[in-house]
Amino acid sequence: MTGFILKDLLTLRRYLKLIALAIAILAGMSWYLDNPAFVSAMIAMQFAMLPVTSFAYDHQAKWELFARTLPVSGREIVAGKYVLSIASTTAGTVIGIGLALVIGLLKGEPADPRDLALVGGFIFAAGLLFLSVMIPLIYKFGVEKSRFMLLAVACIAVLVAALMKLSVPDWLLKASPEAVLGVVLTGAAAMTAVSFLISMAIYESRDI
Amino acid sequence: MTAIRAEGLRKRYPGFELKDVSLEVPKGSIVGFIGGNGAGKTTTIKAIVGAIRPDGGKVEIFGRDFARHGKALKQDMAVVTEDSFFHEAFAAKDVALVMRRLYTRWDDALFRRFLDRFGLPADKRIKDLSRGMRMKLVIAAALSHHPKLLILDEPTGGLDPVVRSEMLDVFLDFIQDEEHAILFSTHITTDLEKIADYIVFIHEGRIILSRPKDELLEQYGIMKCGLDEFPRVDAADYVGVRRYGFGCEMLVADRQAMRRKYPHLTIDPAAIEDIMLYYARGGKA
Repeated sequence: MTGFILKDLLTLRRYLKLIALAIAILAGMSWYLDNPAFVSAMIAMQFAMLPVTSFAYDHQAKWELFARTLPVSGREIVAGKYVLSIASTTAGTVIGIGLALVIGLLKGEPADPRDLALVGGFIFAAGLLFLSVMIPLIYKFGVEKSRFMLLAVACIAVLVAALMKLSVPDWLLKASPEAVLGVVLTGAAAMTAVSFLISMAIYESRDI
Repeated sequence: MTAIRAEGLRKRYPGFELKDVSLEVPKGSIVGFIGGNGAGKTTTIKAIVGAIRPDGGKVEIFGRDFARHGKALKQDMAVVTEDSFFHEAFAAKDVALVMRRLYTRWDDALFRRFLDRFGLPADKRIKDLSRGMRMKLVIAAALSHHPKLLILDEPTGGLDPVVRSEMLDVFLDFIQDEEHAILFSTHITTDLEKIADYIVFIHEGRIILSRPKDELLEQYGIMKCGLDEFPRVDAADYVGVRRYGFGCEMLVADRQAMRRKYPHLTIDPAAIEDIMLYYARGGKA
């Protein structure tokens, strides 16, 4: 599995350089914007797209057929993508929040560490949720179609919520942000685990 | 013991079906796998290496069930396809970085020797390599973990004769060890005439010929006659026929017997390509 993760990182070198450039631009923007959470989220989004881009590169190189000939199980191949996803989401969150902290300190308007930790937690959970939906879609439909499928999934979710007149429960509205974050992170972790199992099943049943 | 034993492989797609494909690759031999476009060569290879799940049949590699021991068996195998490899941003040194984490017997020194032999720079990216150089890198990567079985799917397609000849030399070196074996799928039948021990011919998803190469080249022939003589040739005596201007040519499976039976007709030895073409066309008159 480490070989596959290393393969992804080496393939993504150019993309990582582009992310570094994006971070520099966002750092410049955040100096003038009074919204550190927005900048942190933008950076985290760049990193969340990293695993998606790795799938696109795999497709470009027709890597999947070659991968099937290597002495690695399907489970390890899929697990490699999830490890990359968790690592890139973590890196995006840490860099995004770290940047907001540093810019705040430099401007003499330090952000509240508690607020930053909360924002970081929600960004991390959002990244995991995004990839939990996206990765099985990519395994099933490929990178190109899965972008539209993600949109369709989001629309269906909103529609179902509207039709069922789902609203935020009272207990959640009254709960502390820390408690809500705990629920969201637990949900994201559970979604990631379920997503991994679904991706495994799709991968094992698919012909190249 | 055989390196590959595939038995009764079946796979159905819309518009194409692999029908009970069985083939063997004995140790110490090169088996040439031929057939037209869409005949089922790549599908068969994919079924053998586990890239598709066949609807039926089984594959044994070195006497072990591939479905159960695939991961371990792949340590002894190398598969080279025409265009599936690392991303073009990779250089040879990056390939080695990854491969040494995947193969327990990856040999950096051997990989470097292959790079030197092929004149491949270690730090030049794949996208900057010519097609020939790219294929040399793929072959170098395939051989540097000391595999015993090499499966090649059109590795020499689109390469110039010099590079192809260089590749064939590498395959001949590889097969010097009698524990080694090669399954070599290609359109370029002249390559197989140089190095193959056996020929397996697949057509429309079915194996229609599986024989030692020398036997094919010794026995098959192209018999020629005028159009007026053709009706006197027994249809059971030829495999396929091709008509042209004033005469016709027939592929015969036993040219010595046909020389005795039709002493007035010209019979030339048939090349593997001839055999493939006539079988593919079928075409009794």
